[in-house]
Amino acid sequence: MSESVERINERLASDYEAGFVTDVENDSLPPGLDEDTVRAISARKNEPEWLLEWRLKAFAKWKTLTEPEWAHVSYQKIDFQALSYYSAPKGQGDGPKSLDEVDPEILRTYEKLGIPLHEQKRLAGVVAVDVVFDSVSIHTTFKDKLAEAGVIFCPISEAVKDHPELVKKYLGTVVPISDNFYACLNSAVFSDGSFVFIPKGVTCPMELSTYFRINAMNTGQFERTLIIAEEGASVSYLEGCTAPMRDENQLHAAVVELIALDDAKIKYSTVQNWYMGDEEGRGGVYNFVTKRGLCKGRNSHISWTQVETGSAITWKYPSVVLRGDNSIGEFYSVALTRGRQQADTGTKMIHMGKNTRSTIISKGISAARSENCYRGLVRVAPTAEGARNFTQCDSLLIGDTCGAHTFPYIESRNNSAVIEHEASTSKVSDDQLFLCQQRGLDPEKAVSMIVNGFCKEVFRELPMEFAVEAGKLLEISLEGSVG
Amino acid sequence: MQDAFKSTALAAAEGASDAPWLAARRTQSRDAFSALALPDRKVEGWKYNDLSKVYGEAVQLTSASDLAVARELAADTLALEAPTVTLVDGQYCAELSRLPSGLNATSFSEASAEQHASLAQSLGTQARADGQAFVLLNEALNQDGVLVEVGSGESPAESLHILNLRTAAGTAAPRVWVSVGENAQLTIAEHHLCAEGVASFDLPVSELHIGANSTVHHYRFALSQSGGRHIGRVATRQERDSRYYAYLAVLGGDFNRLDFGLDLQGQHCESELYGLYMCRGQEHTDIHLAVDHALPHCDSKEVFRGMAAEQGKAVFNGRIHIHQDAQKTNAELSNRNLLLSRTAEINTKPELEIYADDVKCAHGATVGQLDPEALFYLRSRGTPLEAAQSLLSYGFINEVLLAMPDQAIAGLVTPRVDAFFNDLEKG
Repeated sequence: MSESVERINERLASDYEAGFVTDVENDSLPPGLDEDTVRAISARKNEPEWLLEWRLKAFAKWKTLTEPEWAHVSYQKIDFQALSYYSAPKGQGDGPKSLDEVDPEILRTYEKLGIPLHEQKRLAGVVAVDVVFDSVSIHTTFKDKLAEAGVIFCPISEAVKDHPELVKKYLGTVVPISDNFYACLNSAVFSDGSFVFIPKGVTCPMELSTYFRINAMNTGQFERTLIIAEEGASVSYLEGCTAPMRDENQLHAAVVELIALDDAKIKYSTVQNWYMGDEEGRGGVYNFVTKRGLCKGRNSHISWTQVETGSAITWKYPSVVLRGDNSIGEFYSVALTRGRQQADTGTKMIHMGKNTRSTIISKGISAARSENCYRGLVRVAPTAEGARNFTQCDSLLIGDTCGAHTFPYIESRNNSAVIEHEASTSKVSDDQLFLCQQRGLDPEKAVSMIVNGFCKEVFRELPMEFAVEAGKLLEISLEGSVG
Repeated sequence: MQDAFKSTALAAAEGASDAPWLAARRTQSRDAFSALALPDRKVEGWKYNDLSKVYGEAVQLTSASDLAVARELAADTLALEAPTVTLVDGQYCAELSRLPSGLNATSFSEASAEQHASLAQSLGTQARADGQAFVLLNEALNQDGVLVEVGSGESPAESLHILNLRTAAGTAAPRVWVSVGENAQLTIAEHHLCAEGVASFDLPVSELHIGANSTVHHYRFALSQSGGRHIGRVATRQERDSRYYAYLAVLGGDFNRLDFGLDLQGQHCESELYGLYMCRGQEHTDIHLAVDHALPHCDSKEVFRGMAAEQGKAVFNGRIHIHQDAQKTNAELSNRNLLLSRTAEINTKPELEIYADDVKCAHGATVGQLDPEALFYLRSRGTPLEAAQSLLSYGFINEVLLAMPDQAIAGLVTPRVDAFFNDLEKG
């Protein structure tokens, strides 16, 4: 078995296909972070005074905070003064007006990654895409079609100019600037991201999608996403990420805020495939992300689905605050770690409203010398009459040099609430493999099938295209696994 | 507040045991305690603990014990007519002890020079691993303790009881060292009892070392009336092929904290831990469990049931750590809790930390209330609501109570459980 485990791990160390660098001229701020950096970012984006003040407030707060150390990860401390906080492809400082203005080099990058920007080339045309390259948003597709339905989908920097009242009303209401170290840093220096507004009663006519790419060296990417679904609205949003292979670590500290009013539904799916570093753990992206949704209205529904296969370190807890009565929060996650990856990920479900319900399904797969950790919190406030939670965390270990951990926090302060948590750990068992092989499957397919079955509950929550992509990502990672 | 607590603790340590064989260790522990930052809510392991209940009062060793109260507290246990070693407010009490004949159990103060020499070597080797502040404080304040030695091949027929009685306000820091040789057997019951209205502060530490192929049944009951504060530590180490069964109960007392550590240092060990904790009024109970699987082929099972009523607050933290070498481990933990009132609170965290792939580990935790349908069923058959509630609650905790093989010992807990429900019914 040990030989086959070695081969699994060999395959797992396979190439990172998105690891190329795009050669475009950058307009970057010099490394370093002080008040002037914050002002410079704000100035480059021609931001209104209120936003600059908001940023400065966040920066002042950030200086008083210390890096959190409770996560089950270890890494060299980040030198925040050595990072560049803004990087834009030259000539794109204010965002291109149309696709013709976009550097062809960048377009080729996205084509290589399989994200064609030319709308006419889309066969079905069912997905609208906002593309973020380093610090700026490059292009948003299908804007007109969305506008017809009343949906606003644009880079957040544009929203600040065109819809200041909406941004002002909602920005920082779910993740306040002082929330945590990285969220606070993001609030001070965030560069771009997506803004989505679905007006009352509208079902967004297509899937919305953002594609993030870190290209420049020594930069941090700090995007900010804000999604608002008004009464009775519904939207499904997808997010994908890649970065070139570099020896240095890149920092990605995003903040995502979701707000669902009465009867609204937001579904947020992520396929995260940042560069994970090499076998020795050199390089790779530090993915320190704060994602939180607020079920503000009655009967609102927020659902997070994530497939995490990349990043050197993942520190990410997409959460739902269930404030409205009868609101529903869901979290479906597959986290695969290999090489020397470290993932500390999970969710928080904060039950405040009556009859709120939450479901957590987390699947962790760890291989090689990686650490995979589920950390979750289910909190039932005294006001959450009749709250209900079900949590299931399963881990699969491949090889004996990796780790799989579970740290679930359960806090109940209402005696009418019912909370259930269960977790299990296992490996791809010899019996299962034998059964599959006996029926004529080769070992490789058998492992892939078993792992896919292990993740099925999560994959079926993903929109079709993403489910296919996620399945493939796992397949590539596990190909040739047994021998 | 912490500073005041610390300085009174250090002053109190001056009055601790002056036994010369312990002197070196005591000084060392006192210095270590003095240098250590005391835990507060910001420390992960103490985040649900309101330590102001502990730090709010000065540390002072109990000087005047009330023997009449002690007699009353000890009555039920002594009625079992089993060998008993009794400490009253941290000091050995010959009158309430019944030293065994077939088994070597004695207080530290009565032990031989030879035993002192070996104790000086072994004390703290298991409990102190993580340098816990309150274990160090126990060592600095310790006045007396109980030493139990079971030689290889011995299996005393009678169970051994250790009574730790609290009759007067103040601090006591008793210590227990149990050493069981190879192929031996022992049933040991630790009782921590505190009389009504006594503002006691208890810092007991017990260490058990279980030799190869031995079996130990360990009962540990912390039953106090109102007023008591208890910060306890149990550290058990198992050698190969040994079997260890522990039965814990924590009821009553203003503030309870128990750190229970189980260290599986041999192959083919088997361990089962059963625990019950119930709190009401303003009571606070926190059970921290840490099971360490270091070697392969060991099985462990943990079953904990908790209840919180009125403004009671219960905390459970169950951690199973499987090291890289511990292949073929089976570990399962189940923690279920009942919230009996709107104002009670339960926080639970079952943790798994796993570094080996060929293992079967699972944990489950629930927090909820009595099943309304089951209640309805009973009421529709004429059972009054309160009776139906306690019937179902008993069903809930019986998984722990009925796991105790010696029902005579279990019988020492059941009256307290009855009283808990009776008081609740009365409101």
